[in-house]
Amino acid sequence: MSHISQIEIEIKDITALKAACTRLGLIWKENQSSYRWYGRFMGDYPLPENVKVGDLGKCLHAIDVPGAKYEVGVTKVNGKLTLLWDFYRAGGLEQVIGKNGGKLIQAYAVEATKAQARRAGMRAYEQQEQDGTIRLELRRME
Amino acid sequence: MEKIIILIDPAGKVKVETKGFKGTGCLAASKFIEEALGAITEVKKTAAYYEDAEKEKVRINNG
Repeated sequence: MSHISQIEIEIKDITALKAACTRLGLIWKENQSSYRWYGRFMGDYPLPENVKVGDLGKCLHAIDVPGAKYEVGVTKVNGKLTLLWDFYRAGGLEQVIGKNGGKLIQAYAVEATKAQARRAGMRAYEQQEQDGTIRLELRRME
Repeated sequence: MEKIIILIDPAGKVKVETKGFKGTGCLAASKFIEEALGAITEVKKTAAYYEDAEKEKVRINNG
């Protein structure tokens, strides 16, 4: 018996987010209260939901991306962990963490799944597919 | 064998698939992963799901 579900990722597990950074070679900056960005909002793209211009540049923790000028800010918006970052090309972030931060979200989802599998007493087998998709197979430990 | 397969693409999109679970229990089996990761946006029940659900119904009707 089977079903397939699609999930919209929400960052809930900060330990898994740290593990995702390690996985991608990024550096977690615990309690760093600001992140590097262009420094001025140009109004040329919509802000993430519930984020105000005054929130930009401020964070609870930051992620340093080797080779990039800018950093990623980790903050809470309405109680939910949110990543804030400036995708301006010269800042160098999109080249590493992907469009809309997709590669960082992917690494987070992998680490969060593995952690949850461990809690449930399951083993996770990881495989990378040719298109960059990561496949995790969870099985109960015998 | 019971398996939960999670496919995570480089854009951060996630699909969860269950295989080999008995009865309609597959929905409950993957809930702990789905809830930990975020919000479910879509669920597709496969042909096998409906076949098993039908068998379960017959079993129940037969006592």
